[in-house]
Amino acid sequence: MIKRLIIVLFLLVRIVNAQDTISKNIFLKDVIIISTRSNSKIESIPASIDVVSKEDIENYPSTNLDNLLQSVANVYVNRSWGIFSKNSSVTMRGMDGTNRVLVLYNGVPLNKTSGGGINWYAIQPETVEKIEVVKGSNSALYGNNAMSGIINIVSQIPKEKFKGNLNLLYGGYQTFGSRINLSGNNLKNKKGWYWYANGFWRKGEGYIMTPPELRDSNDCKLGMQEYSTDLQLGYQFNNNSSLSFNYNYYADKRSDGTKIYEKDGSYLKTYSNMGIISYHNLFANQILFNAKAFYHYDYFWQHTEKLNETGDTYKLYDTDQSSNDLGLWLNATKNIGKFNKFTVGIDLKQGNMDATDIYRSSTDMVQRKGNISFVAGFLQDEISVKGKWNFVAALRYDYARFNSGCIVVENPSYNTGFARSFTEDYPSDKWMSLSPKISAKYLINNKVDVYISASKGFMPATLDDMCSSRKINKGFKLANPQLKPEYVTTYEAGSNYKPLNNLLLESSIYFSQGKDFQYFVATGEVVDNTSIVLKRENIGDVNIKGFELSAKYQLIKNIILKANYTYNHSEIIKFNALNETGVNLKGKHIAEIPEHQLFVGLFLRNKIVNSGITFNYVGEQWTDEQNSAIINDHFTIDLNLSREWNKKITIAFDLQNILDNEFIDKKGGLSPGRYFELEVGIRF
Amino acid sequence: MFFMLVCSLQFTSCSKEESTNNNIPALQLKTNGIYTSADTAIAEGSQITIGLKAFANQGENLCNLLVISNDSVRLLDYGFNASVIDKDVLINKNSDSIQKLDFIIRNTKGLSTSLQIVLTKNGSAYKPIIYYPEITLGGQSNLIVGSFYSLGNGLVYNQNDAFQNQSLINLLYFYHTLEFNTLASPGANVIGIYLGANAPEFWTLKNTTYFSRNTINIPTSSFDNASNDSLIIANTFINGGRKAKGLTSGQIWAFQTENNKFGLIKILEVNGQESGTVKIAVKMQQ
Repeated sequence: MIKRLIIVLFLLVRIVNAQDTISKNIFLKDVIIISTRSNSKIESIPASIDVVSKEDIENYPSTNLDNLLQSVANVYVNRSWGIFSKNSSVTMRGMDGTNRVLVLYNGVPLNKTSGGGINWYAIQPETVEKIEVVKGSNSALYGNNAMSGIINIVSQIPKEKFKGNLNLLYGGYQTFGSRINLSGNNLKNKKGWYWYANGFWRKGEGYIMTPPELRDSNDCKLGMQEYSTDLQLGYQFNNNSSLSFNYNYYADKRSDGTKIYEKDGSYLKTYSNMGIISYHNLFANQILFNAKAFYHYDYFWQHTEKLNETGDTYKLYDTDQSSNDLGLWLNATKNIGKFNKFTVGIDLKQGNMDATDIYRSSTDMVQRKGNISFVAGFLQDEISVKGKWNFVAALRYDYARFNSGCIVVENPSYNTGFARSFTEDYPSDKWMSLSPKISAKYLINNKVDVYISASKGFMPATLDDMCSSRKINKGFKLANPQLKPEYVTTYEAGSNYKPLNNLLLESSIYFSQGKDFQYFVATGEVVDNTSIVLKRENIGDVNIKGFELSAKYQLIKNIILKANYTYNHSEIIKFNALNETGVNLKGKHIAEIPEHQLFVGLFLRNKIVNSGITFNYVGEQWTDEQNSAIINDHFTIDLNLSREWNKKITIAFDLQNILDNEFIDKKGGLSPGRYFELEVGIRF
Repeated sequence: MFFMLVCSLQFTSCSKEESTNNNIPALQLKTNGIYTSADTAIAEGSQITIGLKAFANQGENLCNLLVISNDSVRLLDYGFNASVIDKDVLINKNSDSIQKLDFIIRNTKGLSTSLQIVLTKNGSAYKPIIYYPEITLGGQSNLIVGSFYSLGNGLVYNQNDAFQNQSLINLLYFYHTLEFNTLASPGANVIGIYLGANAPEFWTLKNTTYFSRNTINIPTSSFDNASNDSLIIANTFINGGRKAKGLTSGQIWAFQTENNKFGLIKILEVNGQESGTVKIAVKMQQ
């Protein structure tokens, strides 16, 4: 026994004292944030900012990119069925809806104009260099979607002449996969080509998400199969100028856990293509110019079969939807004098959606489509005074136009509830908004800084809310072509305090006032005797108040402790959408927002094993608008272990939800419980 | 090494999940003694039975059987998923002098086959009805007005009395935050709405009433003027739900009782929520 203890102690000492590890600067000074559009240093920006670095990505227990954001204070990642979820919902700062967070990939938006959502499966964590998270409203720079914050995913730039790895993956629920990465460059004197290619495949049998006491013969496993490819080709003209092309392809097929008569049951099949061309140049060593052109195509096919409780009503229908987003974003930054940095830019974007619901077990066919175009111009001034004060003022003008919206209903029955066949062209609409932001940061000394900011957010409705009358999880959604934009004004204050060289404490407190908030309201009608009819309305005002506290502590050179706590209180304070149901949502909490969140993570890097163990607590949250049902609070403990041998062989082990704590999500589905992935790779 | 990349790129499945099998389904009318299988003349309000047999015919599975009267009214819109279906449909002759019945079978690919029968009116066979002009029911928290109703004797019961007379109860009324003002029956899986040991979930005898607004759009004046069961028969249904949710004044719901009596409910007033009331009028077959 004593001998074993000595061996364990010896190993611990060896782990702790291992010398060849990369010393990581957890305090992120000098890190450049490109999501501010002016390539500023993190320490000078008056905002709450987090960066998930490459090392974090390697050490964090994650099976998908969004998992990495669980470590960031005040970001709520809802992926209740693990890798078998149809998608993940990432929200911030007490606001529901993925469309209220702007997600960028290398500086271009991933939010679709059709629905605002993000496909978090499309980008593989190992192709990512870092993830920047800027919290708070930021429409003064980015306009649409930047209501509660911005997440910018930055892909890697190859640093070696040639590098590659081939990995095989095995996980719980009979999950198999593989990935290949190849990258290289021929840079000489900072001039030349660079490139990378990534391919990923994963397939899993899944699990039955219906709780055991409710299962019947129609429940099946949430099986899935996915593929992705990520390619980058770039040319660096010199230290200040480069041109690059990114291409991303993703395809998957996911069961939704029901199989009645159809061979594959109900399932969702998607694929997406995204291309980005980026150019930046420092003209005359004075003006930094960025241009980004992007195209994003998404397609999904949803095949649904349902049988009611009594087994006498069967439904079979398909949804066939495609959406496109096309844009050109240009901006330039110039230093004027020693302390003044001026940025101007224009953004052009156009998005459309074309979808058809085809009912097989009845005759209904509903086609819905629409288009939104955006034009915006912005300017920003960053002023630094004596290295102590940093001021940022920004103003953006957005113009958005909705057109070509229509609904075509053919041969309707009780399934959709429409009385007759008809075609309706929705009237065009246009919106304008001025979004200002003003903020200041004061460096009290080299240990403490404080900041304040006031900003406005602006978000037009999504095409899906304006044009789509279709079945959703909550009932039957009715299109609302009259839906107007919503606005949010956020006041924020925060500080960074470094009492010790190895300890950083960050805090921020904020208050947001939402106007014309877009939210689901029941109309009181029922379709098909069972489905409640819901409509997205501008319901009135909401207040959101909260704070976030985080700490990063480098215990010793190789061990880092991170912790954060988040509090959010989101409440509807004015309700303008009263209808004959008599339901008044005033005083209700916004659904799907946990009031409390806590994260603690311990990360260790050394020659023997790199590891990370994390604790995630998510507090209670309401599942519905009327606050009639609750998702219980829950927590998970996750573990990541990885090791490399001779820089040739790698092995990584992710164990999620070690304690096997299951919980029921908003759809009544059971979480997967304990799940592992083991990945073995060869480097070359 | 590029194998995976190539595989990924080839996994393009923008094609819709349509098969290439274009065999159209087959549909037959049963010709045994009880079935009507050809054009015929019958009395208004009388009933005939049509026997339908359909086959996938080596094509895609069948998934929708439609019976349409005079190109407009769907007497049956039945969803299922099978290669063969055998179904008997009861048809009540309406008041039109000529009633054209189209029977359509569709498969999962949307391919269809149809048959037609023409019924000619020959006299009248409608029957008198039971009429309850105003029934007031209370919500589950209403301490004054009972929530339970017997269509057999026309009486309103409170929860205790209803528990003692389970075999008589056909309707109950409650308010739920997600279902709003709702009429249901004891057999409608009503759980957690009423409190106590005599709540419907603990009953040993639960009559089931089915409701439908799926295929009907009846003017209130037609309801008010109905003096026999012609309107009721014209709006009989097959795919009903066990709850009538989202009640609002002016709605007319068709219903079918446990013992296969059809009827119509007109919503007169909806007042309040859990402690509120609903006023209805009922016309039903004797």
